[in-house]
Amino acid sequence: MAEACPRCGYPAVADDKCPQCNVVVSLYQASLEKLRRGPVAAASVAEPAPPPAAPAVRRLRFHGSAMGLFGIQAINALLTLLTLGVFYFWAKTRVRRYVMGETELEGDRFAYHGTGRELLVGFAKGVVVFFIPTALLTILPEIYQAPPEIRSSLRSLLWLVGLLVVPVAMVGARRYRLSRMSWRGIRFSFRGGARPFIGIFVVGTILTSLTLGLYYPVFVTQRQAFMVSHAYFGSRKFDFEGRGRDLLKPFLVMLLLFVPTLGLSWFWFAARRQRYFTERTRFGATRFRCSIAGGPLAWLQISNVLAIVLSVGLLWPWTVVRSLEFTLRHTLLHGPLELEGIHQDARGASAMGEGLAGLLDADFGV
Amino acid sequence: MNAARPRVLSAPQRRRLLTLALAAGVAFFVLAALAEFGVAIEAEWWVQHAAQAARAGELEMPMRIMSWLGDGWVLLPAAGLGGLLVSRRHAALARSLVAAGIGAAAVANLAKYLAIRQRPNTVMWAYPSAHTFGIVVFVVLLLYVLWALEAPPSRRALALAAGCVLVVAVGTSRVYLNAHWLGDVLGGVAGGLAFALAAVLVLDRRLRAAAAVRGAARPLGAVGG
Repeated sequence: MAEACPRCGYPAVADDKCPQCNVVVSLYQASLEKLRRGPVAAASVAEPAPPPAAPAVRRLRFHGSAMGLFGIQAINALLTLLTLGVFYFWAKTRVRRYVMGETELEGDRFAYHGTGRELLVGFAKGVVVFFIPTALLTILPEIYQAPPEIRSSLRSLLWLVGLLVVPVAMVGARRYRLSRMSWRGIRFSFRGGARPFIGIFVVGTILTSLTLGLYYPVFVTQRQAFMVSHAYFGSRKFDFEGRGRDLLKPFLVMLLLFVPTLGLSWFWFAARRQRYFTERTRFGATRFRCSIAGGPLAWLQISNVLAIVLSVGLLWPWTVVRSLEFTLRHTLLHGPLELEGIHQDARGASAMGEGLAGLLDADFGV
Repeated sequence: MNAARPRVLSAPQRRRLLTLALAAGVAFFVLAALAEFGVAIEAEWWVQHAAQAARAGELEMPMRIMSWLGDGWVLLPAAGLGGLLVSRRHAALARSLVAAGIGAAAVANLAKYLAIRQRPNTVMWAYPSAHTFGIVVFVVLLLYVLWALEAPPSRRALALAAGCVLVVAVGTSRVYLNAHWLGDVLGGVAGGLAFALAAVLVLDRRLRAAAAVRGAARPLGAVGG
């Protein structure tokens, strides 16, 4: 019996490819299956991806609404209160699931597979490995009246530990989040190790301090290069071709104009940086284009802060939705997606990095 | 206008309906938790796979029509039309029924915030199936109106049978069309039943209060189900 297309419902697909929406039925069904599988799904889906008669320019779309996110937040707040905070981890997961599930590319939504339990366990590990030792090293010398030399040595040690923990948390959070994301059932993953990133982070932080911030453009570009070029969709990796010195001139202009513009020049630099990072990213033959300009970005971020402050946080969902819509509206994918040959290559990841990021109260934007 | 006085529920009937409404409500929240945490996803996937394998050209249109019958754009006008017909017999009951219909549409959509879940076709807001929720409310309220206005038992039996078929057909069509998982449809049935029975109990209370004011209500327990 000819199968119906699971995507558009076309009743009789004869040779596994839907004549109406061009989807390859077997792959799509396998994708749907994978969509709902847990993080253990590491088996490969060797079938080729659908080769749709696709447009040369694609756009990511966000279908969510501020009202939808507000409703989720209202339930989250209620359950977090009722469970004395324990539900916080599930609440975080629900928001991510909503944001991913409302983001669409080529007619299919992204999916988020992380669970609140994973975040809770990651947080608990972070507390044991980082928070308790740090707290003990801070409190015990005070209690036992340790000599000043020991106290200052411990402070230096803690500063060093903090400098090492931040990059570890950033890589861990990135690895966890990408491993829990999928599109058409194919998982994303991050395969960068923490050690090389610690090098980039420590050297970058020290050099940025020593050069009074002038090294910053190089540092952020190196960070971006590491985070992007170790990211994968299925078996294919993303590439990044940026060089930090390309951002040096815009950064210097921003610094020169910082005082006269009362800091507003920062937004023009941030928009330039965003355009540069996006346009230097590649996925196979697909290039990314970004058209974010400084003025609209400044208006977006300033009005977002004002909205959150003046509404005592109630407008947070609105700011999230408009920020996402803003970013996606200005981001385009050029060239063929070439999904043929991409197969499932999921990687496991613990949520400990995510837990550390939570403990440091930093999202890191990764 | 209000020539006919609708029947009211006896105390044991009210207790039975309340118990059933509470049980349906608990089932709705349990199913919501299962959907949120993906507990029964393997079984649901199996059902979904079987439903998609069974898709055939000749079934597409009937299934779309069945699904359409549970749509708010069909049910709300139908509730309004029903309200118009009932208003000839009892205006207050008619108004309450229309209000219950609008309330059901609102609750079905608000209930979607309970479980953040993607549908099998990856679109958001899977749980519960609002189509199933709506059709269950519609059928239960229709049966209640027929009972309250003392329609002949044969018509009530016919309405009961047709209503059950309608609920099953709408629920099946949602799974068939890949719009919902099985758990979403069951959640729609449980939630719709809880809401409709609660609405019936509220309506009955209002009718009894109105009858008490007039001092002309029938004695409780004088009527059968």
